[in-house]
Amino acid sequence: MSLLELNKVKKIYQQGKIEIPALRGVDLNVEAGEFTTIFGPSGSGKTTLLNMIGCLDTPTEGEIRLNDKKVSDLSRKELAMTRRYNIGFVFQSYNLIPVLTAYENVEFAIRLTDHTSESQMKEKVLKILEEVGLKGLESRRPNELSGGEKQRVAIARALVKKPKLILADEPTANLDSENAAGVVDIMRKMNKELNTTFIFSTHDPMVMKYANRYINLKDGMISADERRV
Amino acid sequence: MFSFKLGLKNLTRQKRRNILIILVIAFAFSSYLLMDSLMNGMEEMSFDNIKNYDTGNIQVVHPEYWEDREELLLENLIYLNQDMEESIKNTDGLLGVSSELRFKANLNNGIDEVAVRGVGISIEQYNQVFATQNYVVEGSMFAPGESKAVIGVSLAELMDLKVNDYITLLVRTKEDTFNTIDIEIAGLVRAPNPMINNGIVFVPLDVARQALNVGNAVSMITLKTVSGDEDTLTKELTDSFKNKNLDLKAYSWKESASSVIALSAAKKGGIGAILSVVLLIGMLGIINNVILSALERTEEIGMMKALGMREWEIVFVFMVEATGIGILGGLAGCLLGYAGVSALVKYGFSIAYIGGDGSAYGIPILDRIYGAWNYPAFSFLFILGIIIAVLSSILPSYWAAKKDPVKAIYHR
Repeated sequence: MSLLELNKVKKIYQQGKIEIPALRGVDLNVEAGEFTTIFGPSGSGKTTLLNMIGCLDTPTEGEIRLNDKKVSDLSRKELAMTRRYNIGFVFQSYNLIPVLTAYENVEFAIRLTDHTSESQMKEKVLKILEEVGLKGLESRRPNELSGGEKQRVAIARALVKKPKLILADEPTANLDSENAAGVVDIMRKMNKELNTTFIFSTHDPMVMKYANRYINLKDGMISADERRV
Repeated sequence: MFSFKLGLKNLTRQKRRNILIILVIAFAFSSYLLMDSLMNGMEEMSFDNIKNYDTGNIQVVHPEYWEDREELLLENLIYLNQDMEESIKNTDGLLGVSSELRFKANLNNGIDEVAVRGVGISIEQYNQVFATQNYVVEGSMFAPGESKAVIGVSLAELMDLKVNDYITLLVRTKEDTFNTIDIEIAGLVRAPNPMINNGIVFVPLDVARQALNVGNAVSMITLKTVSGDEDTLTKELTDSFKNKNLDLKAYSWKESASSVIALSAAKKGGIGAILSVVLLIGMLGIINNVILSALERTEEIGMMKALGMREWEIVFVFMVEATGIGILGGLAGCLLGYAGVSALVKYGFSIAYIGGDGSAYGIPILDRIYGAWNYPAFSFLFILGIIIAVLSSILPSYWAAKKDPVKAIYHR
C-alpha cells in the first residue's frame, strides 16, 4: 500500500478572469521510506505539488490519498489535524520563531502532538537536536545560529513528532554548498534510521544526487519519474 | 501552555512599539485617574464648603421663604417660639444650631457702593455650626454683645477696606423704608468658600433685627449634624413640625447645592466620556499592534498552520500578547495615576489661571482643588483595561489566524 497517492490532480489558480493552471493532472504514488526529489524549472508547479501533498492546499480536481485516507476534500480543521500528526515541513527560509531558542522551536512542534511527561518530552527534543548535530546549541536563538544550523533546527522540528512524511521546499536554497551537503546528509540519515519518507524540491544537482527517486515536473505535469536502485 | 509561553515571549519582540503602546495606554489610564480624582476632589470640597460655610447640614425655613430664598425677602420669616425651639432641641444627633437673618444691603465705604448679602448671626451659635471663624485672616470675629462686622477679604479689597474701618450698610426694613447700619469692621475672613469672601457682611443678629425692624424673626435656622445623618434628621424634623402644626420645613444641604449637584451629575457624564476615550485609545493601540504583528509575522503564521495549529490556537497566541500589553499598560497607568493622584491630594491643582476663584463658574472653591482618592477606580480601570485588551484583540487575531497557509508561508 502506498503512503501517498495522487490521481489526476489539477490545480488552477484564478487571477481575475484568467485561469492559470499550476498542475495539469498529476498521478503519483510514493511508498513509505522513499527519499524523493522533485525538480524542474521555476513555475513548473513544484511548490504547488508539495502544498497539495502537505494538505496546505486542496486540488481543483483529482484525488489525494495519504496513508489510504482521502485528504483532498477534507475541511480546514481536518486538514490541520492531518498536518499536525502526519506531515512535517521544512521551508527554504527556515521559518523559525525568533523569540524561541533552538530547543523551544523544536519543543513547540512536539507540544502540539505529544502529551507525554515533561521529562520524556525533554529527552525527545534533546535527542533529535543531537541527531541533527546541534548538541550544545539548544539554548541559542535563531539569530545566533548559522543558516545551516537554522535549517537543522527546522529539520529537527519536522522530525520530532515522527511524522510519516516530511516535505521540504528547496531546503538548501539559502545555504552554501557545505551547509547544503550537511543538511541533505541529515535528511538522508533520518530517512534511513527512522524510515521517514522525504519529498523535497530542489534546483541543486548536488542535492539531487542523494535522492533515490527523481520526479521531473514540467508545465504542471510529471515529465519523468526515475528510481535509482 | 506553550502557546501561552509563546504569547508572553512575543511581548519581547518589537520592544519599542510595544513600549510605545504601553505608554500610550498608561498615559490614557493615568489621565483618567487624575481627572477622576480631581472631579471627586472638587465634588467633596464643594459639598464641604457649602455645608461648612453657607448652609450647615440642614436648614429650617418657612416653605414659602424657601421658594424665593435667593431673593432675601423679609417675608415668611420665622418668629421663634417655644414649640419650635423644643422641636429642634428634642431632635437627637444635632451638633449645633444657629439662627440667621439674611437680608439685602448696599455696602458703602464713603465713596463707592456695592450690593452685598447681609447675614445677622449670633456669633456663639454660628461658631457651633460653621467653620468661618477659623479663616479670619485679619482682626477677629466680633465677640458676643459687640456691635461690629466681619467681611470677606475679596470684598474688602474691592471696596478698599481694612480692619477698624467703618462701613455703612443701606438696608430696607420690613416696612420697605430705608435704614442704615453704621458699623466697624472687626475682621476680614478668607474662607475656602469664595461666596463668603466676595459679597457677605456678617453682623450681630440683634443689630440686623433692629435695623430691619423684624422683631425676634430670623430667616432660617441652620443645623449641624453628623455627616450622612442629614436625610434622616431632615425627615424627622419636618414630621415634628407637622405634628405641632408649625409652618416650617427642614431642608438638607443637598437641596441648596443643586447647582453643584447638577455639576456633579455632569461630571459623571464627563468622566464617562473620558473613560470612553481612554478605552478607545487602549482598543486602537491593541488592535493596531495585533494587526502590525500579524503582518510582520505572516510567514510565521503560515508555519504555525503548517505545523497543524488550529485557528483558535493561533488566536490565543496573539491574544496572550495583546492581553500582556493591556496588563502592562494598565499597571503602568495605575502606577502613574497613583503618583499623580498622590501629588493632587497633597499639593492640589491651582484654578487661579482661570481668573479668580471658582465662584464665577458656580463652584464654591477658592483657589486650589485637591484630588480625592478613589481606589475602586484603579481596580475598575485595571480590570476593564484587561477585558478591553482581550476583546479588542479577538477580531484582529482571527483575521491573522484565518490567513491562507500557502499565501502566508510564501507571503504573497
